[in-house]
Amino acid sequence: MRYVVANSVTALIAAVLVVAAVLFAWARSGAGRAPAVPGSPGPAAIGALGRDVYAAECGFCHGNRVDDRAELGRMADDLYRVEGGAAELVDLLLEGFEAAPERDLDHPPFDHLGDEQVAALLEYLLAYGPAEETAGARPPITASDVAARRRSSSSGRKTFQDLAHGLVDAPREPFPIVEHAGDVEAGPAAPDDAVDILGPE
Amino acid sequence: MIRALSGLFWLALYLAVALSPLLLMLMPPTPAGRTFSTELSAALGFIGLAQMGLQFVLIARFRPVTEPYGIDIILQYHRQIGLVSLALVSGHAVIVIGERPALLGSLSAPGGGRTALVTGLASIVAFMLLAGLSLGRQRVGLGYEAWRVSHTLLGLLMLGLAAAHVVEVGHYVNSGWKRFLWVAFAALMAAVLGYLRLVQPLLLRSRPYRVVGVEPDRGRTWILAMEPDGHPGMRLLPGQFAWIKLGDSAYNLQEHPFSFSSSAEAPERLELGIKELGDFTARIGETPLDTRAYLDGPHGSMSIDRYPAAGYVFIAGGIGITPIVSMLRTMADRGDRRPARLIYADDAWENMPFRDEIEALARRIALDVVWVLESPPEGWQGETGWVTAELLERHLPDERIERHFFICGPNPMIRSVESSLHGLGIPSRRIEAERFTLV
Repeated sequence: MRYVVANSVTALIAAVLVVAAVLFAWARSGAGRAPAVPGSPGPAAIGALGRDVYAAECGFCHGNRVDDRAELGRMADDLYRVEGGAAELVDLLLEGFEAAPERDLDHPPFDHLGDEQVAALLEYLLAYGPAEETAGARPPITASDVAARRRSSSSGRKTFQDLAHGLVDAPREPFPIVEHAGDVEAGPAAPDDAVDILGPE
Repeated sequence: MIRALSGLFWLALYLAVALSPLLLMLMPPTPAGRTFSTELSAALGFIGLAQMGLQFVLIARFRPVTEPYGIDIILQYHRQIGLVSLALVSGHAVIVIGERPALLGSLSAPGGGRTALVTGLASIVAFMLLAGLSLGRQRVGLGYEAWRVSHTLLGLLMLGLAAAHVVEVGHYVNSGWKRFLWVAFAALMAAVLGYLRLVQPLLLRSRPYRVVGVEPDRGRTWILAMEPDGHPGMRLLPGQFAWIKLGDSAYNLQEHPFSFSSSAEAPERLELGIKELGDFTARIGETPLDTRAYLDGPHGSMSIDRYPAAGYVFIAGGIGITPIVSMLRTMADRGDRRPARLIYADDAWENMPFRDEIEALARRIALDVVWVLESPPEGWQGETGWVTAELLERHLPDERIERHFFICGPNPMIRSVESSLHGLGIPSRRIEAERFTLV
């Protein structure tokens, strides 16, 4: 009877679809690019890793504007306005923050990312910043910077100088300092001043 | 043989299209791989989306596609794989949102990800609504035509939203030609619908029929007779059916399937057996003569011509007698002397449509009839109750294995008779039935 055959074939087709999806996922999940080697990988490798991390981790909420200059530029502008600079950015990314308190919107923590991934992601985003920032000499954020920040953040927020070498010896402030009561070197901004990273309304 | 090859060809083509998104995802530029669960969710989503589009082709009643399997099988498959696809795309959403619940927060915040999320969720909601209305149409009290319109609109909506979602997410669909492909695929499927609603009626319009008889039969059944108007009509196989539209407009959405009761050897006068069961059929008796009609058909694979055998056993319940009458009349017109046994079950002797016709046919061909009545009249000597395994055992011919069995009636009856026949040693390949698990 046709129905007997048809029902079996239908079940078979459904199984084929699911198995194909599983095989695809299994093959693709091993196809990630190898993490950057320890040390200082060159800018090209960092850019590629940063782009991959963005696509895999950030795109879901921020949109997959991989290499989209306009969208990423807006995000980078906000990153450059964060008081506390690179150190604060690493903290915010790893620990999460209140993105828009009036809307009860939290940016989740991304502490599951490796040190190279965090460094590459931030470098990737910062590269889309305003011309005067990116043209200037800004010491790159490295994996060891992130590692140091990760170790130290558990015992409370530290100052800018607590980051590894390079940033302290920078000839100029890598980020524009917004005039604010209190010295920026005395500590990063309070969470209330966190900027709406997701962009203007 | 040709039909079997044709069937295999369509199946292979279907699978190729169904799995092609996975291949497409592997074409450069390929994004870096992510976790297994994330990649699985993407694969499930793409496969589900491909299925959404394929449904438009499945239900288009394209005869080359439906003939190898029987259109009833295709429609049942549509229902089944539709539910499977709903599960696949829901699985996609559950995995994505389950892994990053903060994603839901982006619903209240503008940002690139919000459009992707909204289109995806809206597509799934439309899908759920479509499935719910199909499964529970009668419980919700939705009329058949209204359901059809909603089904079409929701189908288009969910396909469009899903295509937009995939382009918005832009992870695998990350280049111009890939975006174009997905949009073109969705547009093509929508175009199939356009063909069905706009072009096919034009083709129907060139082959109109005219109602030449509206005769009442027993059991609130009507025989609607039609003649082709200005064209040779259709060549049907005995036991087939067609969708009929009444009225001048071929664009009328109100169309219903009914079996032919006329002989395949008499295409100049087609007759449909229609029982009063719903809104449309309740008023069929009032159809004026000379009303224009359009027939989409013939469809159906339950026919003696599709299943040659040394003899036949027909088991009919209620209005299921109609296609069997077509087969018996055809045998009579052809002078077919093969033995036929008919087991005809209904509630009462006065309510059996085609009763007189069958008694006449029994005098022309080698047909013997077993009448089975649920509520027999006084003095009834024949079988009573339902068609049970015991009844079948008593009445099946001795050389039963050589015959082909046709069962036509309500679905529960088909199931129980089939199971009884299995118990009596009749293999599945000798049993044929046509179920209309339509909505």
